[in-house]
Amino acid sequence: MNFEQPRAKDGRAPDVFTPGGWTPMRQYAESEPVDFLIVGAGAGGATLACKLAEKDFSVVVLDAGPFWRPLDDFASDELAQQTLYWTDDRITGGEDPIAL
Amino acid sequence: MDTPYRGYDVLAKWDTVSFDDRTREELTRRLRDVPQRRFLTKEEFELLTAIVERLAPVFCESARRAIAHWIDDRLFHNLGEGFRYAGEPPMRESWRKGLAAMDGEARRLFAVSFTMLDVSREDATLRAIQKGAVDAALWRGLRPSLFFSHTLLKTIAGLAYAQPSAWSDIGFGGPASPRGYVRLGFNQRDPWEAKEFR
Ligand SMILES: Cc1cc2nc3c(=O)[nH]c(=O)nc-3n(C[C@H](O)[C@H](O)[C@H](O)COP(=O)(O)OP(=O)(O)OC[C@H]3O[C@@H](n4cnc5c(N)ncnc54)[C@H](O)[C@@H]3O)c2cc1C
Repeated sequence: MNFEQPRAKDGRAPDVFTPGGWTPMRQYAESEPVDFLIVGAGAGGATLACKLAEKDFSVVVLDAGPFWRPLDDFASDELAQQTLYWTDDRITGGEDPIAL
Repeated sequence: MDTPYRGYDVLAKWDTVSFDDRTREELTRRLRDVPQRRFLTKEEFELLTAIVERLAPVFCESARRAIAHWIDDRLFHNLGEGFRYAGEPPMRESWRKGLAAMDGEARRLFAVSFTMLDVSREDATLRAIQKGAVDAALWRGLRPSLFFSHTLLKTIAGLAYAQPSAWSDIGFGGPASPRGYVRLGFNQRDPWEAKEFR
């Protein structure tokens, strides 16, 4: 699997509860106004998007990372889970620099 | 290794619901395909191997041997942990400079390369570096104790414990999914957990 290739497209998104499964996804043209645009589909953003969509708002979500399929992509292993992390360099400094 | 979990082998659960296919796949690859050296020079790699031997002596031989290869592989892919301390060089440069400086310290203290030292002199060298009792000129801006604890020790320990044989030594139950654990209270253990003999 090439994680750089978008998975959520053509009106469907991965169904994370079924290996290889799909679930329908509403899409909007770039010119179409929507009620909410959410940047980042993490624990916070994805939950909020879901709640809003369930209340019939139109929602667009942008995420810079891969659309993981936990059942297919994740091994239950500490080292293997490193693929989840953003590993570009951030600098930690100041009087008491913490490990990030 | 001497362990209170005598006779426990986490991989004995391989064909049970403690492991799923994805996890089995990942671990099979980890144990089978130890990557070839591609980033460090032969000399740097031998030095790193000697350092690993001294810092992770309790792990079994095959586990220890993989560690230097995995570090080299990370350096080859330039795969860091996502941050570095202000003033410290990027990962690759850090390891190159750090390894060279460690060898420099061995030569300063004992007039030979680290790889030629006996165990007590290896320890004396490592201890000097950990405490920062070094010749600053050898370190070229790198902080020796930070390199020792944060880069070297943390990386080696992390990779040592990525190996099932080390899990067995410490009685680690293995994957948290799919089976996971049920009896979480004090002095409780699930039947598929390691049993401690003291
Ligand atoms: C290994 C691990 C285990 C954890 N275990 C637990 C646990 O058991 N229980 C618990 O409660 N918490 C746990 N946490 C913590 C929990 O996962 C986080 O606190 C939580 O995910 C944070 O939510 P968030 O919405 O703020 O950010 P995130 O979930 O990190 O979401 C941020 C999202 O934004 C995206 N993004 C980043 N930059 C951009 C950009 N420029 N443009 C578009 N999208 C972008 C990212 O791809 C990501 O999807 C764990 C964390 C880790 C790393």
